Amino acid sequence: MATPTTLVHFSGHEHFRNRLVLSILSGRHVKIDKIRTEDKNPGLRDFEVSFLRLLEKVTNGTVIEISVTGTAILLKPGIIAGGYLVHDCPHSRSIGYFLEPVIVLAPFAKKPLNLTLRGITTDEHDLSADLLRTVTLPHLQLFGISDGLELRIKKRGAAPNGGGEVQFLCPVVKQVKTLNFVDPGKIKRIRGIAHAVRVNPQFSNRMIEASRSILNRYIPDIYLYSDVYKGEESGKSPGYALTLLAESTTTALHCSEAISEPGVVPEDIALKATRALLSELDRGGCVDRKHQCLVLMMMVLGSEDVGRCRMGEPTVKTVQFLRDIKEFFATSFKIVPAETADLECKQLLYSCYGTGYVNANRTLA
Amino acid sequence: MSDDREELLKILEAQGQQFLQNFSIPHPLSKGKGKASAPSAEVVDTDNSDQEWGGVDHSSASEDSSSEGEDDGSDFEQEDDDFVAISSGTSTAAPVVVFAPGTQSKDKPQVDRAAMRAFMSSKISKSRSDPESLASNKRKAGDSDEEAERTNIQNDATLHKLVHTKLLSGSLNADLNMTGAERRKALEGRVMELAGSAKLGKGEHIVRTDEHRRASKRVREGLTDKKRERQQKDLEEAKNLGNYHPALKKLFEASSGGSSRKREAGMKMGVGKFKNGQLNLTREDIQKVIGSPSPGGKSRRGGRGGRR
Repeated sequence: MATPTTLVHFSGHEHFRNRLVLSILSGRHVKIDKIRTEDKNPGLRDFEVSFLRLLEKVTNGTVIEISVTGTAILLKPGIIAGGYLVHDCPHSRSIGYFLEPVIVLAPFAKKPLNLTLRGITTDEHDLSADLLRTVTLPHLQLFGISDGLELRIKKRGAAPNGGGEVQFLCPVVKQVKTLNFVDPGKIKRIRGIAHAVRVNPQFSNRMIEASRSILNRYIPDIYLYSDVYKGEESGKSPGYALTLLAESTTTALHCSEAISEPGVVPEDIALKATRALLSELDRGGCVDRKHQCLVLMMMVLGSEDVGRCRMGEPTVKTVQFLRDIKEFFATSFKIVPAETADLECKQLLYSCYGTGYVNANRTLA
Repeated sequence: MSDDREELLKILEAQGQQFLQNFSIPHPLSKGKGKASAPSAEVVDTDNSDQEWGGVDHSSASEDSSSEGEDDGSDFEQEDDDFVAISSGTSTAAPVVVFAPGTQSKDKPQVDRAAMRAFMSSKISKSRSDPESLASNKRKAGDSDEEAERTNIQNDATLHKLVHTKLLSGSLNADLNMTGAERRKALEGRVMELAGSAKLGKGEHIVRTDEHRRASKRVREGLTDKKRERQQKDLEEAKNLGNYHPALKKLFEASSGGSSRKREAGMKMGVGKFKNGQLNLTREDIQKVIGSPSPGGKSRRGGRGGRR
């Protein structure tokens, strides 16, 4: 099915990054207007403008027009260039906000991407650097992107002052593989990273103890690592966080995270993360809720073959993302209950016919 | 047998009472607890008689450590907080799950350094590899060394080394009936090999050739004549037996003198080596020309027999 070439029109500031990424990948112009028109501070926020600048750096030939009031933008995408880039992120959002859409674009670049992002590495709104490294990037391995894929956390930076730095390296592929992931398997191990910057290093040990007190009864293979950064590499603000991930026998990953809050003890933060992990595992599936969009995007970009994946119920973000995919790529998903016999099971089987997207940008050296 | 049961019952009840004193729970509980303790004591007894390990819960009245997964759903929240308040809801014979904070193993399991480094590494391909596969890779490498899957050349090398590294046994072996002189030369040869100044198997040969060189002219000439004669005889024997082939000529003729191996063609520079269009000077060459300001100049001049 050939993708149409007209302009796509959206309204509102929601799902901003996903829509821009879809525009760049499909090559269609996109116009987003009525951005926060009723708000006290109308128009684009500083992190959104910074994200647009990052897209300009990553791509070559992209034309971005922003209206005078900032409530409307027009994006004419160019090609994804890649290469060596540095970007300073504002302190309103963490680097996860900026890196998550770049992860979708990077495998289709002209040259392998080497992106350094500076700012806040751990935040409660977006995926932290640990989650990106241990969960998000391994999802790319499912699609055949693994050799040379790296995320180096050079410095950590907690909100509000940041001071963190991460480096993302991504190889270039010609085409992503078709996914056929229907068996969630059973959980075989749980890993976790507890880190604390500019506070008592015992906090990470306390979090690990508290988390183990719940998780020990389930499986024996649980290792929670304490990541210590000192001095210059620990950023400018104090904070601590616990990241947990569970891996199943079929390499399905589920994750959860909890960041420090003022006035809350580390044990409570650990319990919050652990309970979130357990509820995520209860939902089941092969992909957890935070990564549904990434996996669905890669399935659409796969070769012209039926890709299948078993996941839980889609989140609000995922539902709107599926609608946008239909808008840009004219591909829709077939979603059926995973187990028709078992009425209690809420898992769904998502299947789609890939568009056969081939990376035409890459330099054939 | 009933005495034991009474004993165990009493111990169990005493422990329960002591534990309950931590909480202010109303009295009617003792009735319910009595009911709970009786079935669990019975369970203990049957397990003992079965002589099967019935789980950590049912071992005798010592403090239970971690549990089986037999929790009721209603007790979940309390168990999170690491203690169990025995409410009237558990008056049925549900196994009591006790999470005492002190009994969980405090010592961390041996942190597998390789697994930790693999997990925390920035390379994604490394962070996903199983620790089992890492260990099995190491084991595989070790196994292949132990297995006899080697090429013939490797076997020859091993054989050569084994034959020559039976330390000093060439001289100490009584079966060979060596004379004193032979034994001495063998020992000296082995010592040279062990010291590394001789290659394996060549030690004794070097000792003997040194001795030949030190001998007088007549002895030397006699030895070389005899050697030549022997080689001719060997060559004739080989031809008679049919072992000879023109391709094997090198094996049967005398080895050329080592000193006349490679004569440098052309004229030499005063210092250094000229190779590939470059004059390569070592530090000693430069110091020879410049004359290093090192101490002990007088003693150097006094040294004798530098180069004969």
